Amino acid sequence: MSSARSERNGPADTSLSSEFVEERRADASPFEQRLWDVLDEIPDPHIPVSLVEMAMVYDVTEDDGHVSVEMTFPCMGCPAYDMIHNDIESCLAVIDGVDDVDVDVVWDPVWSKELLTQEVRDKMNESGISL
Amino acid sequence: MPTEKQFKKELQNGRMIESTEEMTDGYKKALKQILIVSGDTELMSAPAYYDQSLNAPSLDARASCISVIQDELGHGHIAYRLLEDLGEDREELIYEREPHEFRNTYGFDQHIDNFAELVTAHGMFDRAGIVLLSDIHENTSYAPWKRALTKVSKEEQFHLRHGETWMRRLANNSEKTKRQLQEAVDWMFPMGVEWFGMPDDKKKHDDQLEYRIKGKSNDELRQDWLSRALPLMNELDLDVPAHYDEDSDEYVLDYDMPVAFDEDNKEWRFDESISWSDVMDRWRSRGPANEKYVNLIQSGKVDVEV
Repeated sequence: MSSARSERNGPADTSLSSEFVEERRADASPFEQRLWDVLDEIPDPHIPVSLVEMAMVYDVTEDDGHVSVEMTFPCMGCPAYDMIHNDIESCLAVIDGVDDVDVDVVWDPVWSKELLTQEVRDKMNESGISL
Repeated sequence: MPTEKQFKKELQNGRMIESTEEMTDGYKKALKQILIVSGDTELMSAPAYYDQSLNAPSLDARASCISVIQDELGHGHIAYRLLEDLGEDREELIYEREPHEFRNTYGFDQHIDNFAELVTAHGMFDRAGIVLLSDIHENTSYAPWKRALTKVSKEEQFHLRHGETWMRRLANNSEKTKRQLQEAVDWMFPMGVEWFGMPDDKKKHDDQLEYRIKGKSNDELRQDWLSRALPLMNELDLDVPAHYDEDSDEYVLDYDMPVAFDEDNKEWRFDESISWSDVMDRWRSRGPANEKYVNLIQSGKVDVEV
């Protein structure tokens, strides 16, 4: 799988850091910022941090009531794949100004623990999860 | 070393214990006892959940089921690792005991025969686990266990949610799946009630409470469980022999606990009252799937030369 990836996209970007998500979030419109805030309240079903803290949300865009969430999963066989989709759709759909929600799982860039902020790593360590 | 009485008083006043050097013999014994029950219950839930996880109706459901099993093995490992600090041998505990020597709760000595029973086990039994462990997480005087339970609690929430989600789906899917769910609840709900053990007024003293290894009594824990399990049963329109009593502000059973259980047919005989000593005997002689489950775990051992 990694060789197929490198043919298409070049080698995995090892320079990814927590700034990747932070920059996307900072670039959002005020309404999109609100959507980011809501996603930042949705807990990861398995780990005591939010989906945004887990760096699973890559981008949120809104166009005339159509919301698109670009996201990824830390692993291919995520046991909470279904749950997380449901959570995102149901939490955003109830917001005024949101007509429909499209969750787009992109897998690229590949999630890595480099995307986590130090604060989040500390939280995970405290709850007994090694990184 | 303080006397047992002094030690209990210090623990009631909030003293935390970090290592065996600080423990009295009584404390160590009570702690070992509850950790073995906890570790064995976590471990034996894995084989109990195994068969029907492979029968899950979708790939997502199957991934969730398998992840639950992996979590449970991890939780068992945490308990056995803590027991190692108390002088027990992890290998011996897992691989060298006879099936009847395991101390898991009786619920995980039962065969789980269809997917409805599996998700009901998550909804009933994992919820019992959450009630018991969140009390320990909040109140225990044994600091290493308290720290370890942060991860366990979060993961058990995931199991419960998975169970509840699928219980809702089966309840609303078809008459057939609703009936299967009702049949599962019929034997699993009273199993959950019995999980918390003897009522407080039958128990003369409780070392685990006095040493503040746990914080809530059996009846308090059972009320906690009922107060969370019953609303779900009502929401899904499932019949259970219990109701909320407004006058006493308590959840009450519609039968006189404890009652006889017909293991072969997984049926409670609600009109056949038995004593708690009969229940203890039933638990001690282990249930119908005990040997199968222990063998499934122990046969997985591979000797590797490094």
